[in-house]
Amino acid sequence: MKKRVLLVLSVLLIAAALLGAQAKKILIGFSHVSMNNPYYLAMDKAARDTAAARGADIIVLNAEEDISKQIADIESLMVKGVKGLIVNSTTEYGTMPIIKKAKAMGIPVVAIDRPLYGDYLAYVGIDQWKAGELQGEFFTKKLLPAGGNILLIIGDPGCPASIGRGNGMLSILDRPENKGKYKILATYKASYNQMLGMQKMEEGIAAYGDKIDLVYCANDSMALGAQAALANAGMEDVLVAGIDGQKEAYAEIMKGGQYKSTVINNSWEITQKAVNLLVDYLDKKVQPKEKSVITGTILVTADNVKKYYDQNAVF
Amino acid sequence: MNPSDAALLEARGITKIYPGVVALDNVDFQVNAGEVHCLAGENGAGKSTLIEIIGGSYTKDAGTIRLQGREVEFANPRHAQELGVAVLHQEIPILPHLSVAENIFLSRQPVSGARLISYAEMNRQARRWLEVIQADIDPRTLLGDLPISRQQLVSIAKALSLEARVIIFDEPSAVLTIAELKRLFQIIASLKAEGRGIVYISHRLEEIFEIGDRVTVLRNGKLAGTESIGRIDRGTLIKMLVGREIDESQTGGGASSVEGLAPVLEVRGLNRKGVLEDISFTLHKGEILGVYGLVGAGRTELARALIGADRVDSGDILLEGRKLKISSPREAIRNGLCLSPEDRKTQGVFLEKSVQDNICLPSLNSLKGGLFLSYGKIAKYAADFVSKLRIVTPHLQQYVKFLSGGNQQKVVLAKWLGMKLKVFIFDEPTRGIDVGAKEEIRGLIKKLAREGKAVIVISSEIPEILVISDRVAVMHEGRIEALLRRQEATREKLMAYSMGAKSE
Amino acid sequence: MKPKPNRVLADYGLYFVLLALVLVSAILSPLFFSYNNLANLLTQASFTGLLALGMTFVILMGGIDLSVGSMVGFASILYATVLHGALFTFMPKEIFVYQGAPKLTPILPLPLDVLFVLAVGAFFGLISGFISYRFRIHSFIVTLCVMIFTRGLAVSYTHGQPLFGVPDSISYLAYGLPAKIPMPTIIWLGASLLCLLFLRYTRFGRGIYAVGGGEEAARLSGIQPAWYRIFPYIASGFFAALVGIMMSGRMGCGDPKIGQGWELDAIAAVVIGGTSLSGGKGSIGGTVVGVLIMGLVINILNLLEIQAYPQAMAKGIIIVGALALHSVLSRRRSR
Repeated sequence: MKKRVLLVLSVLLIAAALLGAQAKKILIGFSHVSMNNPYYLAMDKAARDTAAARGADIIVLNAEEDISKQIADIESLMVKGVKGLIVNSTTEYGTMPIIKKAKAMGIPVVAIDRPLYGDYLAYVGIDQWKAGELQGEFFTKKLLPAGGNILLIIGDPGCPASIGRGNGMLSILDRPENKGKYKILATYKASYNQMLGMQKMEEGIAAYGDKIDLVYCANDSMALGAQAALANAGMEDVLVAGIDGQKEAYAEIMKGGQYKSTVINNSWEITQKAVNLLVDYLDKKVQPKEKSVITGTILVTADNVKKYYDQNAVF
Repeated sequence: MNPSDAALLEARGITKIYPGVVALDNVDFQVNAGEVHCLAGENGAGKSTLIEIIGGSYTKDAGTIRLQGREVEFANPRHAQELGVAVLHQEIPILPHLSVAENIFLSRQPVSGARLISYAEMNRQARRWLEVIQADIDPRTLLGDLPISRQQLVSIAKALSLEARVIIFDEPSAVLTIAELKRLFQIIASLKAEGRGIVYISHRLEEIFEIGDRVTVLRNGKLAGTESIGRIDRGTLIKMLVGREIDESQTGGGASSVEGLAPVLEVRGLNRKGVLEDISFTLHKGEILGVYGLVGAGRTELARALIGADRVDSGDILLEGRKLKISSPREAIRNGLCLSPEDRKTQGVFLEKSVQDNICLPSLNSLKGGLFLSYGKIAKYAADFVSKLRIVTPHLQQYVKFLSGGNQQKVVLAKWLGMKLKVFIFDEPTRGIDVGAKEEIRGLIKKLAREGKAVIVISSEIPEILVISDRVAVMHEGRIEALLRRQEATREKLMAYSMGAKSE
Repeated sequence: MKPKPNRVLADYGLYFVLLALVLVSAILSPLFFSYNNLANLLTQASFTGLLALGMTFVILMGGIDLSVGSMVGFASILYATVLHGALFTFMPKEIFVYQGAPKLTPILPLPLDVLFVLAVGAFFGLISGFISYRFRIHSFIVTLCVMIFTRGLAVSYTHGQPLFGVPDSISYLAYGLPAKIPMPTIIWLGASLLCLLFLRYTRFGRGIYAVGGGEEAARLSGIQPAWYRIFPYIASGFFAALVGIMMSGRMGCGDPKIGQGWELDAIAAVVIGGTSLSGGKGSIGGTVVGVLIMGLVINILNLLEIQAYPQAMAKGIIIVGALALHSVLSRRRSR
């Protein structure tokens, strides 16, 4: 009699445990800024794949570069009952109040790619400023040591990535040894989009023609577009540099043509790290080791491109 | 007693000049208390201008206006209303989405203590004024939901609510049925008995003689004369209006009987549920068939069915023996039928296009030089008709909206004349046109018949029907109650059949 | 007397639709009736709702105001600007960097700053209305130009960047929950009530219907149309500025780029609510229902996790459907 009771109880207990385990699938949310280029698309896929690998459910919402929509998206995710949030914020401080609200509701937030302000669990991304500095050093030491004219194409003046990548590079130009040698012809904005990058480059060519020595774009998509415009105009000796480490950019660098350098910003890696970090925290209560997780910010040029080029990478 | 003391409203020496034209030249006009003073004149004679000035909408260039002896200057229509002069326009200005009560009390709605509008009070007052004229209308209905005749009653109620001493009716009968007109006259009689001064503008001579005490005629902006109704007859009045004699006794078209004429159009059993019932008749070459009936008898619907603008449920139309399947006006025209619609301004002409464009539009295909339109041919074509029909216009490019009603009607006619059509249908061709022009239009219609065309003329004016028709069809509620020859047609018969009397 | 059986459908059809949407939402998603969801729904609808109030006045007058979206963005940065100091001495630098919450030196005490921005919004509206009336240019063109101009002004002044530093007291306007009701909703419904009373119970309000529905008739009754024609744009500008300030609270900063496309949402809500684009016919009540209907539709699509572009398709279909429905119902009514 006792044995049977024990048997039944243990079966029930196991069943309950199993049921409990089933029901405990974690739901997380990802509020994304945009989906308009491969970098972001890779993030989307990485988020879904990593979440699935970890046995968590994820909802991804895209704000299309509209900060007020992003706020609404985050509110929506909270309604759906997400336990944690990953946010790639449209502007640095536009999401401050809503992040505060999330924190008040006990929902931890992991920021990726673009920094944001507020009480977040961790930030995963590259050091935008350092990326800019690396490029700046490359330009001043290797590409144009004697000086030259530079055309700037950024993504969005309000975006911390553009700010960091742009200002970081400019800070090198401001150094005493470089003062006076370099001139910024103009700054264009192309929303990180390849086609817009090409359009803006065409405008730059029309305005400055032969004066341009180097085109520095805040991301590879725009740089690839700029390169196409230069090729159309027969200006193949103008140097091109981008950031992000898109595989098409690697291919160009390997060709040894005008495309000279980029900085790794592996969106897949970043997103994967972020999701893992969040799930670890939610599931196993693991605090992230550092507040800012900076993935390797590495300059890629013709010298080391072969090491990083992977034809089958998503990004 | 000084006669001018008795006048409720006295306008003296009113002059209004527009660039290029003198609209009113030193016109005198008075209204006494307790009288109905009719105002008549051809279109363009200056009647509208005069009442707009009296009503406060226009300013005058010279002259004085006195109300009960005191000189006044109207700053705007509201000012005139406050001083007791109300104009009931021909095209009733309505706010269709607001209620009857709101339309009456617009901008003077009764307010409660907190300066908020009291709808209860407003409806109550509106109901009172509507009852005075025995109008069975709920003040809360939206004005746009009422038929025009009732909207007119509302505008009368509004005038009463303004405590107007002088009330000016501008062509009120144009939109009323006979019964409604009767009621209007009753209302006017009671207003008159209350000592108000009524001004009544109309083109219809019978009305002037029925209701007026005096009549003033304007001609070309000048005063042609003011007479007591008792002292003049129809002929004199016409003479004052037109400046010449008109023989109204001419009888109808090219033939006084239809024997021996070839049939052109045969209509058999036309039916449309709720609208037309078993319409059958035959129309002959050179004949003018008049169609008479009250509002709603189905005359316009018949016309539209004949030219394919509306569909029919059953029935046949045969043209010269051949059965037609007319499903659109275009096909009707191709088969030789055309319509001059009742609503001339919106359906007969393009107001915003030139005389030339209007006349040539249906014939454009034949006015080409090679692949493209030839403007030389177009201009000549239009000019031909302008002179043939004596259309009064400064030039061919004049927008039709600037032409008088009579000339607009001529443009409609000109449009069809060059197209070698066989059957012409006219729906109220002389409505809203002054006496002289009416005569011209009728003359043109008769000429059409003499040239061998088959003509249908729909009209609500019995004298016109009698003058112009060879035969008369009388419609009532969608049926042709009687088809009479001209000799048999009398006013009494027409009225009887139109109200439903059956013929054997 | 006019019988009114079909009137019921025409007048109340909108409420049926609203009810139906609520039921459908409840059935399709268990989350619908949760407090958070309803609060979100109302909050987000409130912004469109405020813009729709001003737009109702404009459309009643037979016009349209395309500039409200730009005005929202402009007002938000104007507000942030006045919080920082005198208007012309505070100039955002190119590629601005955030360095912690700044010390605010507003040119006027806080509540007056708000009034100042509201007044500027109203002033822009006054200009639009005046130009449209005086030079007889259709409001579509005038407000389109104001829309482009204002957006350009806002973006070029700030170099496209947001301006931080909006204090918490204003955040309350966006996030506050007095009695558990979202503050934006309280503001919206309160304003709606005032507008409704104004349009229904004051002579000026009735005059707006009159001038919009038949200017000649109104004139003959003694109404001078000028101020009636200009006022709606003043109201529209005022509400747009209000929304701009509230959005600054929601984001904690002023952003010159927000509000793009919001004018269309406002117009859609007004039109769904039964206000006729030709003027003279419509009501605040209808607009409120229209706002709620649109809010419900977007909410249910969100709950079903439908992405943004398909949502836009749904919006398009609903607006056309609502217009067609109104047309059919009103034709049936006048039979």
